[in-house]
Amino acid sequence: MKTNLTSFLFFCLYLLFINNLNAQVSDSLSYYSSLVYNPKEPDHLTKAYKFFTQKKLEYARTKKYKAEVYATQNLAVIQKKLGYYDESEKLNIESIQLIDLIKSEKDDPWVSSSKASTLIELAIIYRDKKDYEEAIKIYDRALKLTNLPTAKSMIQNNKGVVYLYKNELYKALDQYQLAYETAKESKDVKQIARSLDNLSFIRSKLSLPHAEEGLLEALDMRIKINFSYGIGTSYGHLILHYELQQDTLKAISYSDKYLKLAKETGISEQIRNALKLKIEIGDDTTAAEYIAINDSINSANNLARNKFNYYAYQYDKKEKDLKISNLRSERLLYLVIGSAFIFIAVYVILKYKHKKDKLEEIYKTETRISRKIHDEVANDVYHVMTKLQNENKDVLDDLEHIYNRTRDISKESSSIDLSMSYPELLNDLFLSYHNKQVAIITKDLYQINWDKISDLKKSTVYRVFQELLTNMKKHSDASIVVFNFSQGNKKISMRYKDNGIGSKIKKGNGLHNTENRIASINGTIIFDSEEGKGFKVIITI
Amino acid sequence: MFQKVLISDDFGSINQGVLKVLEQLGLPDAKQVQYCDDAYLQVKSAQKNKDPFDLFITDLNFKIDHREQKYSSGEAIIEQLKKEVPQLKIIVYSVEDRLQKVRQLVNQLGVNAYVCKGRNGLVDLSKAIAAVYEDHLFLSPQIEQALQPKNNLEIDDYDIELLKQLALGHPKESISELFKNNGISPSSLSAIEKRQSKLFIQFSANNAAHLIGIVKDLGLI
Repeated sequence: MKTNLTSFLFFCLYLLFINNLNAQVSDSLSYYSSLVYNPKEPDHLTKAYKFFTQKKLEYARTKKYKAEVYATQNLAVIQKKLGYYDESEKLNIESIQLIDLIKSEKDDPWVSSSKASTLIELAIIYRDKKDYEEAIKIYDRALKLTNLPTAKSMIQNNKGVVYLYKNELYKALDQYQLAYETAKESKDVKQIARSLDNLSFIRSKLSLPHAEEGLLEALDMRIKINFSYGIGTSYGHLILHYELQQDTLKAISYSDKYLKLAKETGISEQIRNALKLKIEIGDDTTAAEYIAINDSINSANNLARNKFNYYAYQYDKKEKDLKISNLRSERLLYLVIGSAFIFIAVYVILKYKHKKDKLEEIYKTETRISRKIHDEVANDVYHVMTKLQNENKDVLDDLEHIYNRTRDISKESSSIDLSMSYPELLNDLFLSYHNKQVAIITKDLYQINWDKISDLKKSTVYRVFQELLTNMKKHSDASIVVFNFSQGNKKISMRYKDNGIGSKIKKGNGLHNTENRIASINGTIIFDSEEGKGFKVIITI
Repeated sequence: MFQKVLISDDFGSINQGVLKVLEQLGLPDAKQVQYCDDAYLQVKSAQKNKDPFDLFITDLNFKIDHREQKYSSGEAIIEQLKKEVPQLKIIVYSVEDRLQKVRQLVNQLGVNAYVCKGRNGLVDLSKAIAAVYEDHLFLSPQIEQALQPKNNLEIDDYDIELLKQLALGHPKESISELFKNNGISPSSLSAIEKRQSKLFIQFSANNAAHLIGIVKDLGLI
């Protein structure tokens, strides 16, 4: 009986809180909420559960935290009504966590009242699970959150109920006394009546004075405001009081009133209560009726539970199926992205490798041909020269010219030994063009960090220098060539300058070649020359 | 003069030319081979018969043909012979004129002369034989810079600064003073003079004015 009473009273306050929730509570929300608190059909709780589960998800998605709290609280009540205390506990805790997330306005009355109401729900669960200590702790927390005398008095009453359950009657008495005082402050008749009723009932139990008058006064108040549920409670207490006082007549009289009232309101639980009290005071005539209504309530509860279980199972299954299919499509997406990525990576790598392979192949072929020219053709020409020694000077001169050109061609693409230090390699190259007619000068060749430059780039630069120098030797008439090196952050820049006759830039084969070579290693090459002003090249790699 | 000479080249006609040179030098006792392996056998057997060769003239590149060779290049046989018969003098006679190769053969394998085949090849060879006999190193002119100090082409920031000061017409004394005050080292007059003459050589300049003209044209200052 106490359970129903406190829950019901709590519900009144709860509605008060909910009204604060303003616009977020739509008509459908209040309809389903009424199903939660007053289920008339076995499937009402299930329907409400469906509704609030969907709403909760929707609000979570749209980040409407207050509305999400409201839906969660409703779900918690449903679970509790179905007897699933653990589920209900979880949902209430979740509500509190959600409320804690809302810190928008510090003095938002919604936050404190919502939290208080959720805490009260939670405490009732602990009480029903017989974890009284925890229940009291939570009530104390809730008390700190509110200054409303109505709410305070209600919490104090609830706390009293816990002590009553614990059979600590004096502590219960103290709590009810407190609740009564607070209620009087609030001028809330319902609360005053409730507190006075509870207080007087404990007094009756403890055989303290003023019990009867208190119980009757509370009844009066409740009759005046026509609060039928409360009147029923008062009747119940009076029946037990007179039973205790062994005033059977009065007890029977009130039990008749109670049963009549209960039958009028049609609340089966109250009818059951009334019948039960009749049996307790020795009226066996109603036993059969009691059993019948008890069975019907139990079966109605069972039906509601079964409907809910069936739904929850179906829902879980659907959700699982959905999750699995989501997971599948997610996996598929990853697979597609992954394969696309791999495909692109492989493409890029292959392209790069192909380019590299091609350059290497070119280099190898050049070297091979150069070697053949050098070892075979040049040697053969020299062989002929030796034979003609001192015989025909003109022919010998021509042959020598051919011999030299053959060697130059060979040199242009002979293999480059990158195992030796690169600046020395370049220095050798410069030295081979350095003679009495042409002076080659380098600046900062040894200051450059060549370690990070790839072999491909090194040999390319070598070849380009070689071509520039060959070009210089053939056409420029220069007496001095300067190679100026400078190290940038990531790039190396190399400037060639000679003091030759210069020329209008026309891309002969040699220069065009250097452009191709530098482009192949993603470098830049700029030519600058005017007749009579020497020749200038800037290479950056 | 050398008593016994071995010539190794896969072209008989070239060997003929070399033989002619040797004849002119009064060295009739020369043997010729066309494979490196044969050269090795000749040297070893002569040594065994207490009538060793005292000069070995060899090419570097040998055509690879049907005969399988243990020593397939001039370098290989030179390396082996220098190890086994260190007193044998060796002259390289080759079309190869890469400085790196020359340096490697001279510095690492210890050949006594390096002669480039060419118009003046035989003349150079004759000079080389004479020089080697006198225990001098001989290098053909076109490759003689192979053994020059590495950075003799190089100029640095100091040189540029010096050129700038010279271009301003400052006498060397005041440049020395300026360098000293600015913490640029070396700043002594003699060091500056040394640098300046190095720059004259590098830029083939006849005097300071000429030098400044050249480096200005080249955009160095």
